[in-house]
Formats: sequence, C-alpha cells, structure tokens
Amino acid sequence: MNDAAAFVVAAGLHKIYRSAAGDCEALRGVDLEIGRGDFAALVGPSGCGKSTLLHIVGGLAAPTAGTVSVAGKRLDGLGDAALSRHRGRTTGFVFQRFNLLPTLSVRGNLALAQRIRGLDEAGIDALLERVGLASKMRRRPCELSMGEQQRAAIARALAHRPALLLADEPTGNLDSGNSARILDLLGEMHRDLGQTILLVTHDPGVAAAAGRIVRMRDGRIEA
Amino acid sequence: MTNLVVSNVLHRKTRSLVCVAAVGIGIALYLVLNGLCRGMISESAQRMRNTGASVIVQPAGSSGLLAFKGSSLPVRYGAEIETVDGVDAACPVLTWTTTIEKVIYVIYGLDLDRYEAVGGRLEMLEGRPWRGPGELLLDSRLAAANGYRVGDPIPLLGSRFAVAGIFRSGVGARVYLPLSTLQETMHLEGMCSLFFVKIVPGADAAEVAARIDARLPALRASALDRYEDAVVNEITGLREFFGVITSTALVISFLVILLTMYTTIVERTREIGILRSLGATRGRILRLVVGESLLLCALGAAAGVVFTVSARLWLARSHPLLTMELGVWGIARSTLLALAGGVLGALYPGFRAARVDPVEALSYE
Repeated sequence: MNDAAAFVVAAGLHKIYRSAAGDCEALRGVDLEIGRGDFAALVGPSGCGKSTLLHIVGGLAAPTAGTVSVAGKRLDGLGDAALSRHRGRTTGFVFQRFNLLPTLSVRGNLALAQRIRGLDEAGIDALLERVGLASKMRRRPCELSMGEQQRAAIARALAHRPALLLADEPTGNLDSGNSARILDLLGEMHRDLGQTILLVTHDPGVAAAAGRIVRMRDGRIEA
Repeated sequence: MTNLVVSNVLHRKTRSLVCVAAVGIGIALYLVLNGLCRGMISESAQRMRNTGASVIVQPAGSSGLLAFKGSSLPVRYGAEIETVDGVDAACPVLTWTTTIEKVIYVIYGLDLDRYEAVGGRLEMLEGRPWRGPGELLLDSRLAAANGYRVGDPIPLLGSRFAVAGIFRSGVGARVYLPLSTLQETMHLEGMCSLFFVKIVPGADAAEVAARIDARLPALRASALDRYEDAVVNEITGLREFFGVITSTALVISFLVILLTMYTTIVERTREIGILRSLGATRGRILRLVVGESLLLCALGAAAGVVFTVSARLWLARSHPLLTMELGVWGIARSTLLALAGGVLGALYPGFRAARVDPVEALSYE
C-alpha cells in the first residue's frame, strides 16, 4: 500500500501502562497502514496489544511514543476536545460488550449518539430498519437478545456514517448464528457505505470475513 | 443529554427518591424554621401596628420585646407626653408575661377609653367590653385554640377571671385586663410598662418620637412602623440563627447531592466511557452530572415545598396560635439554595467523571 492511499497510518507506536505493580509495555513499535475503504482484521492472542492499538487509532487512548494519523490528521498530541471530535465525527466504535446505555431505548441510544456528534436524528429509523430493529426501537437494551444488542450497537456506530469503523471483538459474546449475522451485517455495511473497517478478533473464522488480516504478537505487527 | 439526564433519574427510582426526599427535608427545614421565626415576629409586629398608635414610648434602654418588659414607668408621664408637639393622645399600658394553658402570653392592662383615644379599637365578636375588675377580653385565635367562650372562667395571675368578650384577633395582645386590675394584682399601682401614642394628622412619627426623646430623656420613643426591624435587631443572634438555618439547608443539599452523585459516578463509570467513545467531551460529561444533580435538586425543592405546606396545614390545626410565613420569595430563595447545593455537590463528582480514562471506564465492571 502506498502512503497516498493510506487512511490509517501508525508509525513506531509504543504504549506503556504504568502502575505501582510495574510497567506493562502493550505496544512495542507498531507500524501499520490501512487503506481507505479497507476491511482489515487485527488478529492475535489475548494481550498482544490489538485492543490497545484500536483504542489509539480511535482516539480513546494516547500512545506513549510514535505517531498515528487518521484521514491525514495526526492524533498524537491532540487535546481532549479535538480527540472527542475525532471520535464523534470520524470513527464509530463497536465493542464486544455492546456498550449500549441501559436507561435509554434502542432509538434513544442512537439519538443521543447523534446529538453528541452534533447531528440530527435523520436517518436513524431507516438505519434501524436496515439492521432489523425497526419493531424493537422503543425497547431498552435489556429487553433485546445479545445479537439484537450488537446490531443496535452497530447501527449506533454507523449512524453518522463515519469514515472509520473500529470493532473490538464484535462477535466475542455471541453464539455462532448471531456471529455470522453480525459479520454479514458488517460486510454488507462495508460494501454499501464504503467505510474503512478495522476489526479486532482472536477468532480466525471471524478474521476470514475481512479482506486483509494483520497479525500481532507481543505488541508488534508480525511480518 | 436532557433525555439521558431524565432517563437516569427515572431509571434509578429508589436512589432518586431518597435523594429528592433528603433535599426536600433540607428545604422544608429551612422554610418551616424560617417561616415560623419570621411569621411569629411579623404577626406580633402587625398586631402592634393594628393598635392604631404611631409611636411607642418605653423607659430608656428597654427592649422592644414586650415579653421582657419591666413596669418601671409612672403613668403620670402620659400627661407630659401629651404636651409634646405632634402628640394627640397617649395610652399607658402595663404589660405582663404569664401562661394560659401552659402557653406563654403577653397580656395588656389598659383603659379601653384611653386605648380607643390612640386608635386601638377591639372589634367584639362575642360578648362585650369588661364591666368590672374580674373580667378580661380574649382574642378570637386564643379563644378558638383553647375552646373558651364568653363567661368561661380563666385562672390567671393567681386569680380567676371571667371572659367578658372575644374580639377579632390581630390587635395588640391576645389578652386584655383593666389597667387598675393588673396594677393591683401585680402590686404596681400607678405604674405602667409603655405608652401607645397617637400623633396628630400630618405629623411624622419619627420626628414626634425624636421630640419626645428630647423632652423626656428618661424615655425612649420609637415609631411603630419600624417595630419589626427593631425586634429582629434586638433579639441577639436572630440573624445568625437565620444564617445557621440557611447554611444547614445548603449543607444538607450539598452533602446529599455530593454523596448521591459520587455514588452514581462510580456506578456509571462504564456509561461515562461509552459517552466518551461516542465523542462526548469532558465538559459535556461535567454538564451531564451537574444537569442530573440540578434535576434532582429541583425535584427536591418541589418536594420541600410540599412538605412545608403539609407542615403548615398540620401546625394550623394542631397549634393554631403559631404563625408560619410562607411566601413566594422564601420558596424562590430555598429553591435557589437547593440548586446551589446541587451544583456545588455535583462539581467534585462531575470533575472526577470528566477525568475518567475512557479505556479504563469501558472495561469497568
């Protein structure tokens, strides 16, 4: 991949978690480029630094050293407001544990996310229709199955049509049937909306759904 | 975010109810205690103003509080007061503090003719003015509170008096005796405690009072329209007492909100992480916490007003002689107090929430 086409660029990324028990180096010089519109899977064993890399690319965490840029914009060194704007406008997150707000309905979750992003609610109902939750949009997350909750979370992550979708073990809490449906949904959305997707998984079956597989081990990208 | 604030409050019903009730109790404490203090003083002051007199004359250096008044003033001063320019008439009054049915009252001993001369008119609702030394007059509130009717005997100052009449409440004291009866009963012949003074039309009460002071240095004359302020100023620590009540209500609101919001923040760490992942800034998280606190405090203030109105109704039935003031300004002040407590109490948890690391928050169990 050449630099001009790269949408996500990480260079020499280090991340050290410091605590009283000692330092833990999660990333040890990660260099990575992901092209615009790519669907890449980041695979590797637990604790290899996949999620840490995802969080840094998403602007949820800052690297200890190295640089990261998304859509040509450097994230390292940005302040809270700029990073929040990056999270709200450029990226969408899908988590293993869905992370829907339990006090709001499915629609309320999407509407709130849009308001935080400074957008209106247009298109929310159509999106929920598309992920098959139109009839359950007034229900709260606890009233949905796990597969439905993850579909709601995907709808929330895509409601603002982000350029980058970051999914951290999106099928980790689902049975095989629901996992397949979620992967189908992600693939369909990727085809239709053309987002760049970076998906973290330790499941080779899930990684196979992506167009590119990036392997990590001990905080480094494997050649 | 408003939707999230409201849904959080509704979703955690028990926590919200306890918080609202606690803030409400703080507000009710403020409104009831403040209302009782101010109500009793202003009702007493209103009764003084309703005597029709414009100036009250007492021994120099004496208190405006009738309950603490002595009886060291010779009645003959009345004639001298009436010679002061601007004075129309003076009525000597002997006041005495005693108990009826275990409740303390200030009673007035005076001559009804002199009282009427200074403007004091008792509107009789039942019975008639006294005709002899063994009779007294009661105001309608005291009579109703104790179930007294005309003709009932009342033990007072070691004697028994018959209720000759019941007058409409709101003028001077609640119990009136003939001046000579009270003087003889208390062995204070020829003495009184104060003079009610009527001024001539067009005269200024403060100027007349100043002239009386100048003519009779042993006396202290005050315009009655400033009686309420004078009483508040004379009761040592009354303003401090109001301050303590206000501070207590504020501290209660503050602590309740601090504890509630702190607990809420810990409980909702994960939600804060979610909001941060969606793009919420630290400022927005802080506003969310403060907003929820403000909503709880506003509900608490409303609950406090409901508690206060209930307390007022209960007091009116069980203690009809107590007057509790409850005005729009008092309610507005207490609401502002609750909201101020809410904002202050939410600031620390709010800043703490805003500083939460999004990644740590998302992994919070």
